[in-house]
Amino acid sequence: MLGIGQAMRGDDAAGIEALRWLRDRYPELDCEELTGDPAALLNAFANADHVVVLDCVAAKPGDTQPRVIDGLRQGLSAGQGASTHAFSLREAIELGRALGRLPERLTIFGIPGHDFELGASMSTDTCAALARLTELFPKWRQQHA
Amino acid sequence: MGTENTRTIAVDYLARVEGEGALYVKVRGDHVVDVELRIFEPPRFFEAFLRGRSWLEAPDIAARICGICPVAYQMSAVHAMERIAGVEVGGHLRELRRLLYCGEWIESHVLHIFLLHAPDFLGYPDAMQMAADHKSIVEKGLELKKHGNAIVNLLGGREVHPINVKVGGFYKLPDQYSMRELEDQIKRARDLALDTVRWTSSLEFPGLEIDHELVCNGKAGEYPMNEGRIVSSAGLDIAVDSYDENFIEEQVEHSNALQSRVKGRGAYLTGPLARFNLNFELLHEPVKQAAREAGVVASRNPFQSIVIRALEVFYACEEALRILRDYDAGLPPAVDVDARAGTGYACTEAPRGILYQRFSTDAQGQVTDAKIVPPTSQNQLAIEQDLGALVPQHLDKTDDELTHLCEQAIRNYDPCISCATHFLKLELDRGPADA
Repeated sequence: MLGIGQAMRGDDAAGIEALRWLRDRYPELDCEELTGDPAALLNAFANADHVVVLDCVAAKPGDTQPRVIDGLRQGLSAGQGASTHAFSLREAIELGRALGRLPERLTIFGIPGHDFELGASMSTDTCAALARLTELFPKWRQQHA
Repeated sequence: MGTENTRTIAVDYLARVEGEGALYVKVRGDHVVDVELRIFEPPRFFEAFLRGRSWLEAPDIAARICGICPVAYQMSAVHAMERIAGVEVGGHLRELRRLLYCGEWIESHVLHIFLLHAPDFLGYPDAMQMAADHKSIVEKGLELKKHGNAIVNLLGGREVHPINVKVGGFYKLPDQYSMRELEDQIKRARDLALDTVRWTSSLEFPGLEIDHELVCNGKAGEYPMNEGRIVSSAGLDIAVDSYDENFIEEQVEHSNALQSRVKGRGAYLTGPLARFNLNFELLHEPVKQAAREAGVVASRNPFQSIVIRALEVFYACEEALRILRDYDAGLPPAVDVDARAGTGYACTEAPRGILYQRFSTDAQGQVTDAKIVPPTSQNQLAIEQDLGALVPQHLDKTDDELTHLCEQAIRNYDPCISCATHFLKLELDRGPADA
């Protein structure tokens, strides 16, 4: 389980917050917080059969519905990530594909985000999306894990 | 696009720059009449965010400004706080901070060399497509970066945004065995770094020589990293607490970020090119030898900064090994530091240039004022001047080719625009020749 984000950049913290919530409830999961560093992501990809990524995705106002994305088969669009750096999750996946370093399964939970200002708190919409994720994840895990 | 006499090129994102901004280049005939690097984000938000916080948590907050150079933000902040407290952290703790900085230089430079800048030189739009044809090069870069991450992870507590650094030193020092293991790892990194110097020096560099005033830390008896005075190629030699008297930040119409100038002179360049040119003799002998073989001694071509970054990675490995050889886990992790009222100044060498910070605190250690000047905002004018000199030499190129060349020139500075902006959009306006 990889939580990606920046804890002090508004909704970009959503991936980290989601990971912390899951880590508390599912201590058996192998959890790691990342900032999106491509080398760290590729290392994490290489060390597991099934990687689950929790990350914020840029969304329209009012959107509070988390997405479940097959990271190996569904491409992320350039505008779908919320990375503060040009080398984001999407690029790390494509680089992993080129280098043959992807896990067998890669599931992305995309949490809608709206405000990525430095120092900002998470928006109410993203907090609502996180609450929905906490309902969605146990059901998803029962079906897929 | 555009009419017969007017061509405008717009690129939604300038990819492979750590962050986002915008560039406008206006060309009339054979002349560049305007170059504007626009920054949109209010860059001083974090300064306001730091006010009212404890002096002990300020370094960790400052580190969050950037995911690529958090050690630099953290180090400038701890030094400023220690100067307020009247404490000088020396000996093994000073050395270990330098080791942490070595880790960050390796992490940041390697990311830039292999994944952000190399595609420009090898003719690829991005690292993913480059990796398909040059897998071994990318694999080498990722391995080298992993070794840099290992230093920051062991000493800082995690690979990015270290949590083991505090005012006065560290919370805990690594055990002797872990540092010996790290030493073995960095020996491997040193070999990879030397290979990287040789490989980058074989690339083809567009010709560009700009006589920028070069500014960096100096006069500390070592290759500048986390301490020293502020010196320049034009004879500037000042204590860090005189920064505000010698540099000015100005608001310009086209940017929300402040642009830095040397008072009375103007633009200046900070970063690897400045450090290397002003401190060549302080490099370790194997690094100097590698530079001679690479043919970049005293280079002023910004496009060769990719080689100089590789040389600095090689230096950081040599320096890390020097520090690791003398490591003693039995020494104390920190010195005692007490809060007091005052103002502290610090300037350290982030991978992309000097990072100045000034903090004021009250007697309880609460931050009352903060000023942070990131290297990218200091290099903005130099970038604009590079483009102003470069574009007229290449007006025969197509818009796409010229746009790409401008992007490559901006990436020479490895701008960490995420410290100050949202996105970089490139607009090249050739306009009618008689306008």
